[in-house]
Amino acid sequence: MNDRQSPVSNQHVSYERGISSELPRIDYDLIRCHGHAAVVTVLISALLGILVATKFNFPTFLGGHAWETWGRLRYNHTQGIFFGWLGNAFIAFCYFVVPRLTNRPVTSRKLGWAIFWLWNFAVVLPGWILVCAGFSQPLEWAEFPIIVDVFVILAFLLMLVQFVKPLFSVPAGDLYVSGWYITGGLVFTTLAYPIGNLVPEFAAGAKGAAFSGLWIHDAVGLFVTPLALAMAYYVIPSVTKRPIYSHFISMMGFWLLFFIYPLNGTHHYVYSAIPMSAQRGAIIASVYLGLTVVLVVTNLLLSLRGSSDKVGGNVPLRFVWFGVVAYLLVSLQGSIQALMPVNRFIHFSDWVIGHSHLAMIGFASFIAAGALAHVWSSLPGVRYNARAMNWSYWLLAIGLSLMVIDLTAAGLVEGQLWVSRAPWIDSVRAMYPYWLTRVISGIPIIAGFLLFWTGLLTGPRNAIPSQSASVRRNSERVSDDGEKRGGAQEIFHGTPSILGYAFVIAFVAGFGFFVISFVVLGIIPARQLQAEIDRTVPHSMQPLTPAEARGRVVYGREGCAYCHTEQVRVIAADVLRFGAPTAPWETQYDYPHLWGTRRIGPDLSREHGLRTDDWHFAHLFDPRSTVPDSIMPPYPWLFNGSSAKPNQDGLDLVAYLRSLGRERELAGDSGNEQVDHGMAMEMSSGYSAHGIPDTRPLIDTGGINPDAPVFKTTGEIEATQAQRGRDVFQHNCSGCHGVNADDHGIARPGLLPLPANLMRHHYSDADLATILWDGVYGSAMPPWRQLDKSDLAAVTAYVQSLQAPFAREPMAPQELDAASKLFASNCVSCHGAQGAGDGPAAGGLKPSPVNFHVRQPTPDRARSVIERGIPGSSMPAWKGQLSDDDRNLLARYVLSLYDNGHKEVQGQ
Amino acid sequence: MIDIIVGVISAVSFGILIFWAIRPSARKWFEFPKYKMLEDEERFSALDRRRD
Repeated sequence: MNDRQSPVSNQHVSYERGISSELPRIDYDLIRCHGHAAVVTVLISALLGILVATKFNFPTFLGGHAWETWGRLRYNHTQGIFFGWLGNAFIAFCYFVVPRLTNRPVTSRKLGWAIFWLWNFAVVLPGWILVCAGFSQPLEWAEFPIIVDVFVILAFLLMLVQFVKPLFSVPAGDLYVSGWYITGGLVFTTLAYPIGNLVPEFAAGAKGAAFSGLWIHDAVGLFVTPLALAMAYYVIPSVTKRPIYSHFISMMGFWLLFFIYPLNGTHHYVYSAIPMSAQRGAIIASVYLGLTVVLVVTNLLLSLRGSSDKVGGNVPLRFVWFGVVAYLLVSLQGSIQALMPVNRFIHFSDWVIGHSHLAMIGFASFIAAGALAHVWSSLPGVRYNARAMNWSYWLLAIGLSLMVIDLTAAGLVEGQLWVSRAPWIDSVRAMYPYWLTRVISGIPIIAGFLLFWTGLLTGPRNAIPSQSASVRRNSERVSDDGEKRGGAQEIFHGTPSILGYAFVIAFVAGFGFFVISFVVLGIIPARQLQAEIDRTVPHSMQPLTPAEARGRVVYGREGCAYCHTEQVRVIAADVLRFGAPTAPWETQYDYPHLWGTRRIGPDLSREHGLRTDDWHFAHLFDPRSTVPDSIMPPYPWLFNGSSAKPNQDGLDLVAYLRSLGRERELAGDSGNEQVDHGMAMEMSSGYSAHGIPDTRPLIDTGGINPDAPVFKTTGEIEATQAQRGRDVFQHNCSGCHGVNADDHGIARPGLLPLPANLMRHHYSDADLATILWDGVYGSAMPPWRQLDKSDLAAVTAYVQSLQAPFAREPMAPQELDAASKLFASNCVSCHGAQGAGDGPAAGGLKPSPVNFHVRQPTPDRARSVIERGIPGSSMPAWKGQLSDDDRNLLARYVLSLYDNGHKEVQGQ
Repeated sequence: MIDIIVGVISAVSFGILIFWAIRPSARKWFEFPKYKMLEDEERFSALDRRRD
């Protein structure tokens, strides 16, 4: 032993005489409390995870209460794992290991209790309650509201005093790698946490996303990973009683991880509006990270060489071994999925969810569980129950493996469907079995954690067998090496003392590398974005109205951004499906950004003009009323008992949804400056779900879009096609139009005008083609361009099979003359002189007046409409203004105008 | 910027690696903490066993 090793000071508390007189105090009560808090919170968090997963298959599971809606539980699931489980486990481990690494106690026992209460009763518990109550921040890994962030930062500062201060006193040359990781991780996270949580509140949109991306990765890479590796590096030699393979390589890994990990952040936003230079840097750093992890894992696994019996027989070590292997897998997977060709395919899909579970359970939780069990075996009079621990290990391993395989496969299927032109809802339907499998896989996981807790609570109170012999051997080796090291010491004899202590780690790894990543991936991209915004922002750009801004808060509160992205990436699949890529200037009033990292529902950034308010109200009140196969949770607390009675929150939310993409729409071509020519070509291909026709107004063509594909031109109705059309209809249209197409769908009460009763009209091919292709502007009928054309043709056949056209009823010349005069004096202004829906007033009406040449109501329907009008449209009631005879005459007249669109077609 | 990042990582990594490889005394100096850790761990473990 050399003279640079820390002498044991007199202030250290001694438990016993002899060997213990040299040892510092260890706060076992704090270890126990943090350990139990970790396991309790992981059980709650895992339960939240199962509830969240179950809601994918059973969206109304548990009912429709605000506090347990999917979005809020999802926030609490991840925050509970991060703060409750891993945070407490790491703190417990620090109380165990810091005195061992420093030969000093932690700074203060009272401070320890302050941290415990602060962490659990000012962060975890209030965070959960506030999120359930609707106070949250819609940012990944930063979901707890800002008031909670204050206590998180305070807790981290206290942890620096508690754990890092003793580590500062150790010469760097004597400090074991676990101490380096603890020091670097705590210092870095103390700096990164406020940046990731607070900066997006002040740096709008894309600029905020650049900082948010940093924190998304730093949370895992610079808090979870360093602390988990500190555990792994400690547990392995402690159990095997052999030193790690190479402390030098562990140091290499430490410095490379702290240098490279922070530079990965922007790989969460590949193909986004963030400058490509930052994206490319993050991708390169991701590849380097994979190589670095290979180095780290190789060192850890080589440290287990010759200890296969202990890996098999010692459950904590087996937990750690599993975690190390998972670390290798998840890191290589992360490197691969950051590459652009892979990223464009799997990003936003369940693949990423599988990846995150492999990281947080497979890597971090397994190592944390192993370390906690190992620590438990050192607590006075306590041991873990090996049988329960063994079962816990296998249940967790089986559940996690099933979940990761299932979600990875699900992501591949989703990715394939998204790059195809299949309707979005097809990707949702395809996921049902995968999501059910995930629920099933969660059961052994929560059972595993339950058994883990059982293992901690029911262990025998006996000592483990003495291993003094092996220890003695290793002690001899230590002495030998210590002596040999004396020569090496001379090399570094002249090293300045300021560089010889552990706070160098804090300032270089924790502070220096944080600053580098902050500048490279935060400040510089933000400046570039601001310059681009200044150059490209249209003069028409306006901030949200107060109602829209309030709706944005509701959107974030309910976790909408965790299923619907608000960023169209610069890839063909996104552009073809959703519209123009998101430009930085569009996001300049987004505090914080709501880009999202996951798509379960479609992207919403081009929602403006796509659907009516009625549709949104009906969809929010009962999502399956408008989209029968939707898995979106209902939001009845945004209404006063009916979709027709939204409350202020409901009105605000729909106002916000209506605003999405509006500025881009208003900017027209001037908003596309950042889109290169190739992407502009793809954008113009016309397959976007956005249904607002960009050609001439429909009123000029009698309500017919000449560009809408005519799905069925023969006029023949084939039974098989109609039967298939019925299936398509049931899956897509029955929520509004009813299962019998008689306008008695469950969304009916909230829609005005009411959905069309398809049993009471006959539609021509051209009319149906226009309706299906463009939707019905001014009604809740959306465009259905995302459906395959063969499906649209089948729906056309089915709808036409419901009501055949009526034969023209001959009208006597006198009747025809009288009807023409009635029509000319009462109907022409809207329906036009020829009844083609092109009257002088038609352009300002929504929905547009009916073109009777392409749509024929039944006689009853015609009489009913003339008598009562159509609520929600401009068609007034004529009862009281026209006699019964006149109304009947008009009804017969409009029926006679139907000519299957031949007149229109010829006219065009 | 990317070139600088890659260059710095490569230069530092390979520089240290070569230094470590050609100086056995440096290797020993770097490896010392793993033995010290084991010794300290054994002292604490011994205390734990005695308290049991």
